[in-house]
Amino acid sequence: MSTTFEKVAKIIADTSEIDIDTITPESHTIDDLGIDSLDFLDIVFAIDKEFGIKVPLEKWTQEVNDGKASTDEYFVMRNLCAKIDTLIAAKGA
Amino acid sequence: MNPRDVVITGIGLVSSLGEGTDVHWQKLTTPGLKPVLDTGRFAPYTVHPLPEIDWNLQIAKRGDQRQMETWQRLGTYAAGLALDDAGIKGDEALCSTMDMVVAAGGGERDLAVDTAILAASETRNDRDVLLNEKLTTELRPTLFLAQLSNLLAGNISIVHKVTGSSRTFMGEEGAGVSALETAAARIRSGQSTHMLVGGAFQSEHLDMLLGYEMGGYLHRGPWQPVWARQGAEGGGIVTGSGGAFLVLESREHAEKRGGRIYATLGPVLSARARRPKGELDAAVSALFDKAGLPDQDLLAVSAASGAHAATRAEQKAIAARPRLAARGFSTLTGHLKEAQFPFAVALAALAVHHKAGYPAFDASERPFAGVPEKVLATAIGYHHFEGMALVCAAD
Repeated sequence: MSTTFEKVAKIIADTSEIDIDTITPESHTIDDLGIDSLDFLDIVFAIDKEFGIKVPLEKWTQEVNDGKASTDEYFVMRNLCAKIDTLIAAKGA
Repeated sequence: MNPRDVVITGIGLVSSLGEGTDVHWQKLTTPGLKPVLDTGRFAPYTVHPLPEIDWNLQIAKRGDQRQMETWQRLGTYAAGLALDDAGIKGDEALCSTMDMVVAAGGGERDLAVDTAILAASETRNDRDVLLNEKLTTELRPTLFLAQLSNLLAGNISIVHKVTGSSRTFMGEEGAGVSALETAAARIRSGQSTHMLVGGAFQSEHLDMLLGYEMGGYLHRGPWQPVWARQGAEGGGIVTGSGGAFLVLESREHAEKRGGRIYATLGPVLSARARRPKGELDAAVSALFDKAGLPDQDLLAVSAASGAHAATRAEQKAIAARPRLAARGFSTLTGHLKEAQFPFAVALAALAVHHKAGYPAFDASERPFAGVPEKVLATAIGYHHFEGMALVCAAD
């Protein structure tokens, strides 16, 4: 079974024009991979579908805008996948 | 000659016959050409399907392609063909000052989401909540953009960098007539020097066919040429997928940059007969009278849809004018809805440019043998709105 990281990397590669081999756990989806806001909406939509969760994108964005969190916390692949795992676990609880 | 004459300097065409001006001219001047039909996929309805298209040729970024459905891709593609044809594509100075008028319908709906909403509504009473739930969880965010009418123009701006003013007219043949009428008027008044005008239609989608069939407009049973569907089962329209875009310029602008001029766009006329009041026949006849037809044998490229009442009215008006030789191109392309009138004007311009007419597209059409210095383009809307334009030789 593929890992959360592999699934998310595949979604990103399928949605945007990013070569899957360039996506690493340390990649920042915005700063390194250059995903634009429209593509990001579709990527989050696909993540929701894939994992049966609802990524609280608005809340995350708000926290970044308020200076309560750095973008790294949500948008570096390793951290993003960890958040997704937490959301999946919360769903099962 | 006037420096503000409206001239046609670029044409982009896509239909079931293929893509580009050369392919269309060659095929449409081949006597006895048979239409490309798909009779099975949407039976009992027949459609003229899209040819194979390599979208990458006009829409380089995959992300851009993904944010559109076929209708917007088709329009963006045909617009690119027209810009290429005019020698404007990629010219930043010309594209950034180019105005645009687009004739648009609505984009394709997500049938799976619609079906899921209908299915769920059978077992739930909180339908307002249900709707919001489905829209926020089932509809891919950028697919919503693909359904917005004015995003065809938006995508043309993004992909081809045409970033002057932009307007969108919505709905059927009338949108195409208004688009051309407005574009021509803006050039004649000196408000614009060069414009991109056109539309596209993707008929191979169930909700697009449903739009016609709610009004009982689609032809059923064996295919017939557009003029021969009266009395046949159904409403007379056979749809097609395709697009038509034109580059229009003021004569002065085109000459200054050394652009090739296909033809001059003469008067563009429109009418809005109140059809339920029985005004259609008289309005169509009056429009022919108003077009200032020359007293000579005249080729008319007709966008007749096959819809019974509208097509009958046009047939009667043509029959009463024995010097008119009409060519109903929908026989070979199917009805392209918003793109019908731009397509008609494009075919008229090609005939003027090549100094030759089209052979009859079916046995009922009168022969035309002369050199067409002027060609009439007509679009009597299948449901409402009527339009005409006289396309004249370049000089």
